[in-house]
Amino acid sequence: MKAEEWLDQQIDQLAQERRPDRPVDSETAELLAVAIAGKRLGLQAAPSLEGVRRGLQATAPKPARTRSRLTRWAAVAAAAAVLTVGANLLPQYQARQVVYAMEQAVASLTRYHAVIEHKWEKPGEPARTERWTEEFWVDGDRYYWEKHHPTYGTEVVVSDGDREWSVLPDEKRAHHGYPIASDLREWSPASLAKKVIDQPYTVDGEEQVAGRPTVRVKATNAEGYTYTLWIDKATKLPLQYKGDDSDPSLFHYTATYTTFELNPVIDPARFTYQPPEGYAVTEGGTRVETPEAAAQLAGFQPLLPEESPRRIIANKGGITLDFGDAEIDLSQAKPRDNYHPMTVFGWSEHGPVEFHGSGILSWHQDGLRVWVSGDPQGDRVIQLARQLLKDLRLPRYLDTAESFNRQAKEDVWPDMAAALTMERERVKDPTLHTDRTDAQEVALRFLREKGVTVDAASLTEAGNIGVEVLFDVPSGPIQRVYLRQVGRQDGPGLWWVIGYDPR
Amino acid sequence: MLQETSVSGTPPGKRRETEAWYREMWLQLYRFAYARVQNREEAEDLAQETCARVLGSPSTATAGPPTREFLFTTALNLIRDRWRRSRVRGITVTLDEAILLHASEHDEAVQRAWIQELLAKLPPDYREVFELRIVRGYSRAETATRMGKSEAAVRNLQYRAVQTMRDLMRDHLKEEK
Repeated sequence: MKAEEWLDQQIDQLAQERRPDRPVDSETAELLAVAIAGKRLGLQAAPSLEGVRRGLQATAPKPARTRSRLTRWAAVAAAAAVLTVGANLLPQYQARQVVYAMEQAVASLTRYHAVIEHKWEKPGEPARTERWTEEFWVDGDRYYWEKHHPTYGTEVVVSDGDREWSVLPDEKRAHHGYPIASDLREWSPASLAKKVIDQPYTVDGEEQVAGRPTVRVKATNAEGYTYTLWIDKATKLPLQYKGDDSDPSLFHYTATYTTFELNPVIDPARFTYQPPEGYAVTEGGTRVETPEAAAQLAGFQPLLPEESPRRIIANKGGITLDFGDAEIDLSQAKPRDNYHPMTVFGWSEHGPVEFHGSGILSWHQDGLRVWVSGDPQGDRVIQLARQLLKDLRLPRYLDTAESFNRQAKEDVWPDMAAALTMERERVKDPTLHTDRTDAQEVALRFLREKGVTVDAASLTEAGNIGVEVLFDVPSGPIQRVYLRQVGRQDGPGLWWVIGYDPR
Repeated sequence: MLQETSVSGTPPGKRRETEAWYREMWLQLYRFAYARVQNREEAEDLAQETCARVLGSPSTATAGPPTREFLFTTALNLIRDRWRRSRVRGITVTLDEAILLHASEHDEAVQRAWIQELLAKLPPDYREVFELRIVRGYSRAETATRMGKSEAAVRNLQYRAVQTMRDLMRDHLKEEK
């Protein structure tokens, strides 16, 4: 292979976050080092991991909200009564009032025009700041959304309330399908409001943002990350959102509505679109009225949750069940034999359930690939998923309280001896690595160190959620061994013994 | 009947401390490694290997979590080891490692300023292809479209751009010596 071709491949590998190949000579070793050094100028310091963890925090199951609107009113009234008795409750009362007013304002919002500016910045490094903007025109189900990104170019999505045009003007491509608009939903005022509503929050002060007086509300989630929302005092709507900024070594994210018009007059033509001459146009599926009609088009019977979809869209090989605020995509596909390194798993009787962050779940069921997407917080997605998977188990990432190892009667954290022995052997002979066999081998070594001699065939896999595995031991003083991938959670991730049940 | 001792010998009371330390350090190590190797796959490997080595050492078992400096020095040594192992035998030129050392001895902002300064010295075509393909991560096809060139031309151009960048780095490092 020519050096040009080799270098080209390594640049692709780096762009895809994959390990580059071994250099073939000193020339290629140097050129690869230069490419790695050059990539450091990119905007992301360390992709995915942080985002996925925070995203998963959002998609992890949350306790159901128990306060109804009525009881919320009662709570506000009670707070008002207490206010007359103890002034020390004032901040709490104010916070509830402010957030409640925002909930009301967001719920009644149907027509608006807004421009939101997104900013990723790192303290002390203004040159690495990345900004992009999105403009929305929304009137009920109809919308026009335009995104301008310095790297990814321009994207336009237009819906007349029934069908949607998704357009990439830079590439002269347009797709005519049914509304998904997940990006639009993610940065709507309702989504921004929800980022604090479901967490404990406090009023932090008042401030001018984009020339408007606002109330600053801080919310802290279970993992200690703090989010700040600036609520416009006049409209009661969210005006600015900032992610956790406690770590100065990380990029900090801010989204600001630089323009917000309530109930503007919008020309109906805004919500129609006709692709210009020369555009490559693709057509999405066909809307059908019944699951039977969808099955005829798709060539398979759809899985149906208890809840009826708002509409059904089908084409050959695929069916989309649209619920308005979320959707289920079904397609015929073989089960996957590998997963994204950052995927975290839930479990059902049909096998692993993948969490992709940002409110997306996927799994295989009855020969179909099921993909559920919707609200970024994931509540709705999980609600729909549970209608298809009755036994869905959802471990909270890095929260062992809901995972297998908490069931272990004897707890070890972590038993490194067996895992490290395996790791050393694997370094010498990379062919040793075979995923699940690694977990089994680590369990066997742990048992041997405990004086229990059993062969691999006699160990029974009693549970498996992708990142945790249980093995039952047929005889001896230990009945069950609990293993977990601590840290890296994919094929080459180390398996550690984290607990066991004595017999 | 919770058994507080682990097989690896971590004394009672240290286990929870180690767990908290591990959760905190894993992310930091990952970011540290990523800044140097610029790919997620290898950064995860390095973070894991560093944790495994440090947690598995006898001193950690008795004294508890190591210092941050020790941890990051271990990570850097692992990066160096891997880099050296990846070289074929007989390579004597060590510019690649010099670039790596440059990364470890200067803070991130200085490294970036250094690379940007060298990038500014490239001819416009070279700079553009370097920025699109390497810094921004565009595919060859996307880069070709943006530059109005064929994919083959982009491949050759990027090769010459990286070579020229290498020469500039080499000159600069010589001057530093």
